[in-house]
Amino acid sequence: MKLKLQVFFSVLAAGLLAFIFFSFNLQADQVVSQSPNLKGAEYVGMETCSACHEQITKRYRLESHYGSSIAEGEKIVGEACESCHGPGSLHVDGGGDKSKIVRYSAENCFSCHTDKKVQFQLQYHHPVPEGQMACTDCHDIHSTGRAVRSVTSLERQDEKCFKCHKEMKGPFVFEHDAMREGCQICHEPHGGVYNKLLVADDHALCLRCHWQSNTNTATGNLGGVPHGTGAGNYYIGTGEECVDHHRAPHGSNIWRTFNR
Amino acid sequence: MRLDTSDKNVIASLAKRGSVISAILDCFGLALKHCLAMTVVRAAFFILGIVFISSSSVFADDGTPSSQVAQQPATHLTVADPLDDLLNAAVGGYLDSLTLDSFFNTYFVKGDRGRFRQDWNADDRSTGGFKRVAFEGTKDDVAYEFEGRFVVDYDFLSRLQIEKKDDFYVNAEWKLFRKYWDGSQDDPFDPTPYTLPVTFPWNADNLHTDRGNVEIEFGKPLSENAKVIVKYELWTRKGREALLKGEQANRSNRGLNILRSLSMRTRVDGVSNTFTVAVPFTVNEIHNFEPSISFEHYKDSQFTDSARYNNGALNQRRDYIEKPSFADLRTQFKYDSFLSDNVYVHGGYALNFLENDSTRSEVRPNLAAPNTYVNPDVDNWRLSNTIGFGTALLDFLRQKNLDVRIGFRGEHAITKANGTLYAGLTRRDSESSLNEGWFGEAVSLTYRGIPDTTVFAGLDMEQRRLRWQDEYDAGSHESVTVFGNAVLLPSYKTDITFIDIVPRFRIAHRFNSRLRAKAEYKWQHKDRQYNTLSDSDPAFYPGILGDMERRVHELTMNLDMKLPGAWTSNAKYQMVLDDIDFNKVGNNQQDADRHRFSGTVSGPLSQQMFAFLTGAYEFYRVDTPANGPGTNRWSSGESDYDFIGDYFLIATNLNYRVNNALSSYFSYQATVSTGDNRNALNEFLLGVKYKFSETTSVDCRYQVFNFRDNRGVDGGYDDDYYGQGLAFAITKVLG
Repeated sequence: MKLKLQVFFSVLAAGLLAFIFFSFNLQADQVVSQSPNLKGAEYVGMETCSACHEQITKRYRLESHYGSSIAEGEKIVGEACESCHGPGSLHVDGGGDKSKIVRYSAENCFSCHTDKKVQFQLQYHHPVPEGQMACTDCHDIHSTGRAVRSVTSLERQDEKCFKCHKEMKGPFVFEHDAMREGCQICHEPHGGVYNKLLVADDHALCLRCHWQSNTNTATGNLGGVPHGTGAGNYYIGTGEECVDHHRAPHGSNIWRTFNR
Repeated sequence: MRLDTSDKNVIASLAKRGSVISAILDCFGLALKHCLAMTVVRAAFFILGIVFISSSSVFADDGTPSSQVAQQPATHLTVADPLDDLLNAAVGGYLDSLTLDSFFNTYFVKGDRGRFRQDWNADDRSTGGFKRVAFEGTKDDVAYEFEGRFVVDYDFLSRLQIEKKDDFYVNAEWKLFRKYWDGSQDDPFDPTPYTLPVTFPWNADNLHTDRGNVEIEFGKPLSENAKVIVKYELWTRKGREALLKGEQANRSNRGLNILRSLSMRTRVDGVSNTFTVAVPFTVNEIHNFEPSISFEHYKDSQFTDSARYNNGALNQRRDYIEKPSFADLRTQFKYDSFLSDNVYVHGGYALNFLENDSTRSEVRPNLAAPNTYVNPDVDNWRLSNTIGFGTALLDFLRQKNLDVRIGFRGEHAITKANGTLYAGLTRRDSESSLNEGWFGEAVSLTYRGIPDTTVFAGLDMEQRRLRWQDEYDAGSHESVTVFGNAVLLPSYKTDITFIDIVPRFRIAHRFNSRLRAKAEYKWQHKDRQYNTLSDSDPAFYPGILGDMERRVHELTMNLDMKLPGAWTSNAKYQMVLDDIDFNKVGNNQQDADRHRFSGTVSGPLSQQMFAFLTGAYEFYRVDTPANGPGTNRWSSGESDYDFIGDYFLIATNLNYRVNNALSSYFSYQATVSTGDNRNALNEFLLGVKYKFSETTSVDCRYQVFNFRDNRGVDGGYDDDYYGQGLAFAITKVLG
């Protein structure tokens, strides 16, 4: 039954792909409007934006989005502010009417950052597509530095994560040194196919670093503590995980080995 | 419904007193009062009207291309409609526009409902409400803007902005949403090795935590060049969540006894309050200063129960009672300025004092080795001083479009921590201290002198020195009894030197209006050198890595291409080669290789049909240095202990416009993990949208989905689920 379902889904997916690609050049002259609700709006250029948003436009050259542009047809029509916010003439004519300009939405970011959109479509992701979080919760879009953090930021690199994941903030009596490498050493924040957004399943994740000199011996030592198959060992059997015992991987106030 | 004169007077008088929020609330209150006074028929009509007043975002994922969805601000349509009169009468004179999205949604799920809820971030029951409520208006020079979401079980958002130009502003946000958890934590639960009865109360379906945030920010000018900003933030989390994986069944009778627990669940009840005051001011029109101070207090109450079974019988219970807590005080002083059109400087200083005051108890009430471990008190604190400064030199050396940026960061941090643990009546102490010096430098060059081209070269560097010292009473740990360790007060002291060098290069070029390309290469070289000063028991310290080097090569290429016939496409490739070497045992001990391809194609298939296709494939392998005995196979990767994380995703949407009023859409998504966690999720969606008028439309959709975990565990305990979904919405925008 499973096999039949998989075959059915695969054939259907392949059919859809083929349908789309073989239909590629149908109605080649049809143009779909990219901004139906800003109909009539025209691009006005950043100089116009500066009249009201001077503080932002002045720093724009320092931003990572500086130089972005969009095209319509054969023309490059929107640069700078309007590459994200759309044509601004109606917004200007309306005296700054906020409904006449494209404002933040995750979909707006995804229109360029398509790989991030894909990651957010995976089973494990922060709830950005659901609208419960925003890209701007972690990324300062108008930042004059790097979007999240640069090595010269006043804040430590994990502070953005600790805004919500508070109990990991510490400090602990026994800290996990990997926390100093940044949360992303173990977690993929945008999305993945692994539980808790881990970059690998639990064994491989820990063993990336915790090789230990005796690992390859018959006793399966890790750091001097036997994890092999001998009597009295902390044997790790099939399906078991390091965190089964080392349950406080972010840090512990009690045990050096992060056991709970 | 019409407002009578007295109602209008009430609202007007409230507004005159400057109580705008009260005016808005009373306005709704009056509307409600009139509703209650209506006849049943009129009330029903009013409710129906509210349902009809909705906008289009509920089906934002209905296949509409993202670029279109992104560029749909609230529209202000003025087509005559009886409902317009109704709403205008209720709130007329106060709102410039009003948008309400209403919807109803239900899922029917068979199989692992917990896994469904976790994957879909939704309950497997009926829900509905207002997906979006938005209005804006102006009264007495005060502009107000509201956006909200009210969805039954359990997603609420309320965001209000009030601003009087050149005077005060208030931003207030409240949100509450639910996070669902699957009790088996991504692995199918196989009850066989537990020898547990089929009727065992697995109870893994209804795990969720409710997350809440409140943010209120008030700003008011103190003078022409200064203002004060006061901010309050509340964070809450309450519910029951799956913590870490439990100890799963040991299928062989080796080593320790087969004492295994189920995946652990924790009750959490946390709250955090943060107060911030900032006073930004400007001197001589160009020097911007921002002193600020913030204080956060966080506390949580967590309870975890863990039961260990041996051959189907309860062997041990372990209850964990934890109360994480910290106080965080941060003062900050920032400065930035454009000294001239081409010279930008910035700097800052931060003083941070973080104190952790968590407590914890572990109770082992029964059976073998009953004991209670109580960690009644810790006294952990970290004091850090950080400075940062830098400059941006635009048109450097009078070269137009050549920008140079230089930045520096320095931090000194002292961390002292000690904890007391009572193992029964015996007191055991642990303590540690960390002394850190941390420096970062960044230099970059950006050149935009070549038409339609940006060339960037940057170098980030970090150097850290960490003196790490800890000491603990090994009697607190069962390892003493299990392994007969002779050293009862182990201590460890080391200096770790971190040296990071990260150069990066990027070039972006727009060839013409149809083609744009970007390529970036980043190389990370991270060196860790351990200088162990003392180690009382070198054989008994797990986790000490020793000298290591990490080298990461990262290449990203991106291509945006407009195709004939108004089709657009985007393709991206990312390669990450992440190697870790441990000098003691040679090079290339760990390799993690990732190749990710993703792309989108969208455009019209015909005058009536629009298509959108997304695809991604990831090749991801982690080769760990641990290659153990063949019988001791920890993972199911290419070889022992390795991991394969490959997956692919295909998502497609088709929109078909039958005529100006009727359109339909279809979408399909397959997410298939072909690596170690073998599973496949397939989703189909079919919908119809009918526009009654320019302001009113109805939307219906039907969904089918199927999730299969293919890791060999079948029956009532696997993660498989399948089901159907129905959704209905009526759309209207008023303004």
